[in-house]
Amino acid sequence: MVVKVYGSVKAACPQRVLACLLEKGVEFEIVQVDLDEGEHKRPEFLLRQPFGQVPVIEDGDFKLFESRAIIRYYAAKYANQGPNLLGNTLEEKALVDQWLEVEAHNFNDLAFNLVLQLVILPRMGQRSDTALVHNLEQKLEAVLNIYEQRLSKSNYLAGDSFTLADLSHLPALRYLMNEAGMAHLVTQRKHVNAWWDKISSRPAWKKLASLAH
Amino acid sequence: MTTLIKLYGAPVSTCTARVMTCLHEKAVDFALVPVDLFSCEHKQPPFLAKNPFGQIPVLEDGDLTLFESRAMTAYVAEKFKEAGTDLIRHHDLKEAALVKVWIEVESQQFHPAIAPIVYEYFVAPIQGKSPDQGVIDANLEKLSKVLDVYEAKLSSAKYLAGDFYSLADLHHLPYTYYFMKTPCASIISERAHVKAWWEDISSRPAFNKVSEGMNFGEK
Repeated sequence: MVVKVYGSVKAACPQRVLACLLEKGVEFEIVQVDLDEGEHKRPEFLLRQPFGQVPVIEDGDFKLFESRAIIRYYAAKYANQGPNLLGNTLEEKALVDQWLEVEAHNFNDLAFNLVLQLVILPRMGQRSDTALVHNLEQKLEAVLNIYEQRLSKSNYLAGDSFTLADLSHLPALRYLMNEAGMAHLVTQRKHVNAWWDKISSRPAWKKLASLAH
Repeated sequence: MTTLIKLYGAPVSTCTARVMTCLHEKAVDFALVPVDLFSCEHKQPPFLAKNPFGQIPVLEDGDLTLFESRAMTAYVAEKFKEAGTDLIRHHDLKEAALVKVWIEVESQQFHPAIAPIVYEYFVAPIQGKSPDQGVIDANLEKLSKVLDVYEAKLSSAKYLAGDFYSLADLHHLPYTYYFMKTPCASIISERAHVKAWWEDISSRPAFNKVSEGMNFGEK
């Protein structure tokens, strides 16, 4: 049964899910949701996702939303297929969770708001807030300094293998480094840069990037 | 012999309370190691070696050191899955997934709206600032919309992920506890199902053990 992913292949949160499905070799079908037209805020869509956001998955009768819950589900469901994205022992899984939480609570808001200011608002013909951009950039630099320290001691965030914790960063980092013009945040940090090179050259991610951009 | 879990944090801290509640639900022994927030102990080198983000709590279980409260609760709920309350529905992959959805909802929808309000009323005054009504109002509007979704969800099931109490409900306890002491509490109590859900989850013994320590000395 093919998993239906409601969203846009260009949007960061659906990309998080698509990257995971591609890594695990799970077949999917993208059902386009027109974000520019506000399709995700209309009653029919709100029945699928009451917060009016993408992605949503439908796997037969089973439906889920929240991209980080979806990737955890598929990484567990297909634990024995494709790369192990969760870790093996309880302790390894805890470290994956820890860095997924770091992405959600320490990284994502800063990255998202930078992309909003530098890419999305201009596209909508609105002015961005320069002081805010500077502030966000400084905070993100501080966070990435911690990542630099971490990645000087281990190849990937949760340990020596690629996991959901690394995967979860891919969409926002790609936007930051490309459309937002913030590549220096990564390239100026030796270990973060090496890590980015590794995770962004994975075949699954390259396949998604070519579908999307 | 198993080692005693150590939790570095403070009884008034929401995120420390989140983890302590989970430990109590699982009937797991632990030692709370106080971290002195007022002297900024959590921002200084010995503590930064445990959590480079300079935040409490930190959990130590033998060789394992963890930060991020929601990673800790997931770890405790998994490690002790056969003990105490089943917070993660580990026997059923789909129920487990629904718990994860609502854990993410708390993390991504509820928390960003409620945390700034709790901050303005409880933390800003300690720093000598008055609560910023603009921040409070903007976040109350967001939180109201989130609670509308919760009201609809809780009218068809007793708890967020289904008819069973789970980690998804538990994660809401600490911030909501403080929120209910603010003038904004009515947005919870005016929604019948949210109110009933709140009264249920906040009266659980595991949380009562923790909420006793959650006071800044206010009435």
